Amino acid sequence: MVVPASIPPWAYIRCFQLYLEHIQRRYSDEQPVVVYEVTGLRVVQANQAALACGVEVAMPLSDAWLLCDNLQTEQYDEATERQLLADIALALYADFAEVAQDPEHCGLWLRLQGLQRLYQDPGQVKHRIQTHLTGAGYQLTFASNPRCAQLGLDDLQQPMADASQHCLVINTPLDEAVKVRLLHMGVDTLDKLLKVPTTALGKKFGAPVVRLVAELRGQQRLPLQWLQPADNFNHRVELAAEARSWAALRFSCKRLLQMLQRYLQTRQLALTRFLIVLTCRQGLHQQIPIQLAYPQTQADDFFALLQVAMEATKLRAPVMYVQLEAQHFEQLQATSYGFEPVTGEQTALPALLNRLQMKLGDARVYGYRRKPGWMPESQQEQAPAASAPGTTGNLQAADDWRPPWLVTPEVVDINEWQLHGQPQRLQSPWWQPRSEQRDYMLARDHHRRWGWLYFLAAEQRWYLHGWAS
Amino acid sequence: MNSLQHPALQTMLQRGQLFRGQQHIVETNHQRASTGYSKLDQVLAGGLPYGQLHEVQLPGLFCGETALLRAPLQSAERANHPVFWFNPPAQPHMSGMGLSHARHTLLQGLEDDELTWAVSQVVSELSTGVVCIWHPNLPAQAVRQWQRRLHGELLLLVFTRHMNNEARAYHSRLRLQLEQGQLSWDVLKRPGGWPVHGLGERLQAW
Repeated sequence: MVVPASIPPWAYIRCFQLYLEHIQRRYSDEQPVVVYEVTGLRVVQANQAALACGVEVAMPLSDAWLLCDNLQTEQYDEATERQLLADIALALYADFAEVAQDPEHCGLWLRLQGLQRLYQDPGQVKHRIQTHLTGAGYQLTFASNPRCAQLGLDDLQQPMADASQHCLVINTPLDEAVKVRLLHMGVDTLDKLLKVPTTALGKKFGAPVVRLVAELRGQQRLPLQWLQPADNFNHRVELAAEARSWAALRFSCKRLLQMLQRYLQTRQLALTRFLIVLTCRQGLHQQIPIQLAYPQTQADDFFALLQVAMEATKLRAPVMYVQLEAQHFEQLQATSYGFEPVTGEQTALPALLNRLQMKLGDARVYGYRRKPGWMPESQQEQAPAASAPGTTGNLQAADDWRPPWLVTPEVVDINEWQLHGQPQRLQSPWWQPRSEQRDYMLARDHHRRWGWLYFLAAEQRWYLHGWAS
Repeated sequence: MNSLQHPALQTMLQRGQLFRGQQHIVETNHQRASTGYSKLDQVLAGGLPYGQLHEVQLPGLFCGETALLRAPLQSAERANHPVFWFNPPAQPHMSGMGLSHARHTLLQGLEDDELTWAVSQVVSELSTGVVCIWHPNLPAQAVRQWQRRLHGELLLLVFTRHMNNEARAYHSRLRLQLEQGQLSWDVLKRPGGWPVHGLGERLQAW
């Protein structure tokens, strides 16, 4: 009987060159590129072409220049790298419930203990991670506790004493002074450190070393900050080159909208509005609000509306960053069409209304909703185009006649009208601030058109309020 | 010798100066919307067919054209089809029209280009419903495109206050006259028949 391999309790993903991979798309693969830190002017990340020229990580930038004539250098941007790491963590969160970030070492912890039913063996875990990190360089370590995983000690495949033989003390998160003292004592690898009695370590090197040993042995928990995705969606992408037209922004916008679609799908949400913020080199912002009549979830639908908006928008300056902000979500409603086949119109109407509203504005594209009310003008109200067409509780009696058209009441000369039929008295409720008593009558003007007039006793004047022909 | 075989007539036929009136079969399988006027319905073989574009020329607003809306709106109400109002001259009173279930969308204050674009969107996306347009004049090219794209049950009514005879690809063209209290309809264009003038009707309230 084959017993399935159980998944390890912890995994750690270390991304070596996240920032370099981010900027690499600006250059060809043959172009040597290094990332340097501005304080020490040392190389912190180098691509394959630079490594082939003899450039090494931690090398002074001046030496790298000597080794490679056409070297391209980029200043290390810690904030961008942290944002990239956060993006990866958010993507992994779709498959792994417990994700913790280690921005100091550009790594991520995954707690796998609760996922035994979901992933039967480590191979499946590796496959899921690979799908989110395609094209990225990373090291994946499985271990029994988070500290071993972080230091690359696979204590599950071999005993701890053997696994820690090749792990250097200088790679541990201890203070530099403590590391130097340990090296002076001949403790250069972790297996040697683990052989020293804990009491002696405590007396000689203090609490941090004791804590590290306890963490390696799984006797003390590592304080981790678990990823808690924000309630809103807010992402920014940096463009490879300044964009001067909508055509140059399309790809980045599509990428952002696909991220938004994944965000909505995993949370079963829909969206009725979002904001695109275009940032220029000088820090100028240009905001493009997108308002939808119907809630949508698909990137293609969002993009179609964004295209309509962008066609009417002129870029004020070349754009460096595109940001997408979405804060107001709606729960995704299941649509039931019964047993009848879904018609094209049922799916086309929401998209059509969204497009009309996007192009013309919601002030010019709207619907009417019936509502309870005594006076004709209060029996319906302007409503968003996508709102429900009717409501219950209309106070108008079913046999009360009303004209098909209402106009803003205007004073008329009754001598130009010929009254017909019996008057109908409508009175607004007494509790309203401006209570009115109107006597409505049908009347014909000199063209014989049918109008709907009322006499306002308080003013002793006739008003035209509607047309019926 | 058949009189049409005469060389002079043949020459005129070839030049397009003379055309041969052929028997046109009125398509009766189209669903039609009653105009609300009996004589007009009779002339139009039962009313205005769905899936077509119809122009109604008016001397002024509210002269009796509202009756044309009654049948299409009630049909849309029963079937829960969408209704689009482009630049309506006043606020449609849903209660007065007896409407509560159909999905009504009003598009107000549209300029020429915006209206052409918006109607094109509706015509290309929807296959059922009613579209009512109030506009002085529509570009001939757009009208031709809409008429080609119209399919299914979508009914387009265009109300215009301009009395004109410019060529447009409307399926039918009606002109309403209201003089000294007398309402009469002129059918300027209809499939399968010659124009008809002076269909006197009584103007009744909705």
